[in-house]
Amino acid sequence: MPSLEYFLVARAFSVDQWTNLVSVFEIVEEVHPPAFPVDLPLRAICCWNSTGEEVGKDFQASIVLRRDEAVSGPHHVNFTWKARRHRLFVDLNVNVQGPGDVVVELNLNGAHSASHTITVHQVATVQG
Amino acid sequence: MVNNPLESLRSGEFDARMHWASTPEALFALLSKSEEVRALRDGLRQGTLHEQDAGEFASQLMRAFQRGVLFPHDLALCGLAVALSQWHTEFAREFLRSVAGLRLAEMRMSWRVAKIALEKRESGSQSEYRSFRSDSISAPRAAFVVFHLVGDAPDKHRCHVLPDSYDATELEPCRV
Amino acid sequence: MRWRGFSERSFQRCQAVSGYNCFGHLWASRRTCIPDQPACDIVLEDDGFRALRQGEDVQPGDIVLYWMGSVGLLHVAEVMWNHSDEQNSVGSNPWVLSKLDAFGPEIYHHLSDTTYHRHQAQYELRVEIRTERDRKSPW
Repeated sequence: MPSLEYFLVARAFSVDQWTNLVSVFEIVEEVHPPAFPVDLPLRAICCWNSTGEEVGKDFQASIVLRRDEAVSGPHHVNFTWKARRHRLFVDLNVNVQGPGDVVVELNLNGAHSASHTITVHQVATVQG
Repeated sequence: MVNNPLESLRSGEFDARMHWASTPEALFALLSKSEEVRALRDGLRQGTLHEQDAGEFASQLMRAFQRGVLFPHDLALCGLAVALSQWHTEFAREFLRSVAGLRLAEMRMSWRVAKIALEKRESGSQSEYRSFRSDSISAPRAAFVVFHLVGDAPDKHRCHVLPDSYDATELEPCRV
Repeated sequence: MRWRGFSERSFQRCQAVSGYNCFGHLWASRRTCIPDQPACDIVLEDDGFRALRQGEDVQPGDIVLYWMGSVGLLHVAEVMWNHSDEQNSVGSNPWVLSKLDAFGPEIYHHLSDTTYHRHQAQYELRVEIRTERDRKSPW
């Protein structure tokens, strides 16, 4: 089974076409929305490292989002392993209904790989 | 060397130099060091050469293919494969896979050299882009290329693949 | 008949032919390609090829190895003749027979009549002559 190198949720990323290096911008750890519900356009960025035996085989990654009792997903991504390291970049539109910790879970072939937690703060109120 | 970096792969001078390499590995290494392949790589990096140009050039070369006759542009195809071996895009990968899969007796080294290029890429990292769209769960993202200066040298450019800023309403919302 | 990239004095021994490369020409009687350098290393060792000693003349049957920087062993050729001219003393003007890749012709040319010699520093070319004339019978 491949091992997970990294899993992050961020606002943007880039892959250098010349060096094939990944850069990640604005890793999202917490948000302060002006109101609810709020749309959070985010990218899930992950990379697995294989032993080489996985090349050519089919895999299924799943993303599940949880906030308290609310669950969205699993959202499946099917792919064929192509190289020593396989990266997956997934665009997400996370629609948050209220404050709390949004846990983004990553699974591979049904097994839990990693989680990334985003703290969604209460809407700030002006007291006057 | 002719001005068009692609056309230089068809020159007699290029042919004369590459004929010395007797194995695909030696040819790959020799091509990697050649000024023609360096010019192609620079062109891709700087945006003066586009993937579409490379694709059309390869199609032109393949029009000369005839069954039972040694393919006359085999070394040119090798040069293109080596140039694309370090270009990390879906186009480059598919091109190398196509050439590596040919395995025709009429093609001397090109499919072997493309195979070496693929093996080198497979020892690295492969990227896959997905999004959950309302109409399709696994549609690949479009990407655009951004050029920016590296340091103070105006001739040094880095190409990045940045997912374009998309309209989040196009995506299936994940409600939590 | 002169093949491209060679000087006027070279000549083409036979037309372009597939089935063997330069290594196969030298060590497999033109019957097959020897595919990679590790296989050549085995032959060089097994057959006892050694570098020429100081003052030792090049002789027909010796081999010329063309090494290039990070490429490794680029090409081998067989010494066919070693003749003098007004500029060189006897024994230092070897002519070789080269098979160009696995699909090219055989060319008879001077040892240094190559594109890479004309830009030697750029290509980090190194030419080495070896011989196995000390080979002894195993029994």
